[in-house]
Amino acid sequence: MSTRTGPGLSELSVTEFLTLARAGYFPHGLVVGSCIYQAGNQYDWQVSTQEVVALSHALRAARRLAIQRMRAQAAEVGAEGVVDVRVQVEHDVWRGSRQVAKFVATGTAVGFDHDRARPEHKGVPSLRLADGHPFTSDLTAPDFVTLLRAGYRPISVAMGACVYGLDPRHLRAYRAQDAEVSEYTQAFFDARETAMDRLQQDLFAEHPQGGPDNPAGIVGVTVTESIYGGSGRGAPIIEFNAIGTAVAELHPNDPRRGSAHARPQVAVPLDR
Amino acid sequence: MNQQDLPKHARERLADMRAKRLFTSDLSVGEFLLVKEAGFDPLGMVMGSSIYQIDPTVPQFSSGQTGCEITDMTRALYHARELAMTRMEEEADALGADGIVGVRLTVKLGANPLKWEWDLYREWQEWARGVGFPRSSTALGPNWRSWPQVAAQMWTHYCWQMGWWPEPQAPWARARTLTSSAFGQNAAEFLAIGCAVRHRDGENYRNKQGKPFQSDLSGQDFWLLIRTGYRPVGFVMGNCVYYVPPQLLQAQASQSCELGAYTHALYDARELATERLQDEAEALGATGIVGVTFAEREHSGRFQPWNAGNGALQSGEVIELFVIGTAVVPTPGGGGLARPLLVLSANDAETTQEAGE
Repeated sequence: MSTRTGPGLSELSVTEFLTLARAGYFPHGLVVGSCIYQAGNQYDWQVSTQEVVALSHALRAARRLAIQRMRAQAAEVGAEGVVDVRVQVEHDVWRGSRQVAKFVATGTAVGFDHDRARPEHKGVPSLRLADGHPFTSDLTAPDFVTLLRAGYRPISVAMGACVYGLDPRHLRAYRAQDAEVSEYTQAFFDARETAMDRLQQDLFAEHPQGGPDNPAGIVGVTVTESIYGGSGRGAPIIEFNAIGTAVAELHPNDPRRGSAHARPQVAVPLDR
Repeated sequence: MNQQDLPKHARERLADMRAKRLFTSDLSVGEFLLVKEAGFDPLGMVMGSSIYQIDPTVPQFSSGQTGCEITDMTRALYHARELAMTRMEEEADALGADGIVGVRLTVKLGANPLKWEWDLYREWQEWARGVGFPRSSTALGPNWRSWPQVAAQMWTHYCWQMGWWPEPQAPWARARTLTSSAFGQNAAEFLAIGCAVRHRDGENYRNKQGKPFQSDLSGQDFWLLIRTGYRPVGFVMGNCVYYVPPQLLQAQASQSCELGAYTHALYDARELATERLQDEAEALGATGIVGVTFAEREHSGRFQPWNAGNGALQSGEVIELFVIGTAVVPTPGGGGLARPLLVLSANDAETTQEAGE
């Protein structure tokens, strides 16, 4: 049962706060989790067009730890979950060759306020997961409320990563002609798909199908990329990150669902 | 790469998604709900990409000639986009989709290495000024390409002063999000991403060629289109690469006048690209094209650091005109959209701006 311990710190704007409050939720505080991870030596891998498995695994482990710590903090302030999660990553090569990654996950912990909830919302079940952990989601507060009204609840932030090395020698074969660089296409295509594939696999490993937190889908997936090296700083390494929020369906009779007959209306805003 | 051959992980991911009845989508929550309201279920995020090497040869002109289209380059740029989109379509087909909404077609051009280095040089200068080094110590003038040595010395000195040990990485040596520099100067990545959808009641929404329709409309626009009695049949595009020789880029000194030949070249390129767009829409049997956008891009070396002038004035200008839009046909039933509701937003200006981004 969630009880608020004191005034909750939040980075919500007034409109966001009111949207959340009208749905019966209140911020419990800003929560942070971080992890600094060392991912081996950059001379451990060769220059070739293939995945750098050591780095992919390091990314995954580090992100998981950061999210876990943030979640533990949310549980401590008695929240049901965390919305607006953002994962910031900063890479450094320290002392020449050691790859160090800093992960910081921040979010706003929210919980249901049973004392001040509207009468029809009294006694709604908690949004915590079946194992008692708070949920996590990278949706903003208004998006979280819209999602509940649509009959879904967030489960967790789903992530997948893939780090790929590129061999610059491939380009030489294509000098002075218009053609597809198929080695690179294959590499980029494969890396992006691997990141998304891992996102799915990790999600199902944690929340198996048919379990109490059966994932129905993932919304808001984005695939971002960043590059290290290249342009005279060694062979380039490319990192792909896929991130989204896994959602599960609410019980059909849950009062938080909006009415099924409500249809969107077209509105013309009168302010600029 | 074989056209019919998606990477192993792609096939794995799509099969897994189909078996577990899981959807992934890059739609925002609002878009997701509107697509569902329009009668479609999102199936999964689909993508296709192609990395293409484009040879920058420009034709040789004798003086007095006007510009012309570089057909090889037009064809190459078109083919690269087509490859990316065909692969995306294949992924959607593998999911059993009726269409793809929210298609984004992006091009990541290889960066000019000189420009890249110049940017880093400027970044270092800014940093040095910010922490209080005198301006004269970073102004290298025409010898600016020797900046890495000076910067490294300065950074070591600074770290020693601050007592930082081991010496961390300098701010200008950090990772960048500009992936295209990995390709070399004349290669670019063409990437198409969208969300595959299927009609809930099994109505056929595929286009004339039996392929899933594609559309660059957002979830909101897609809903509006369906509700007003139209449906998308395909994503159409046209492009044209045009070369303008250097002598047409400048007029007589001390004179204000129109650069007639330059105007004509751009005009011609735009018309050619639009004509190709229309031909594509006609091939799909469309009655109209919505959301047409023009993009204009210079592929020539305009960049010359350290007061060497505009590179285009020496080598001529290579311009690509690129037009995209969504071809639509009316649905037999027509639409029944209610009268719009007028609302006054209570968000303050700042919040509205954020939401609009």
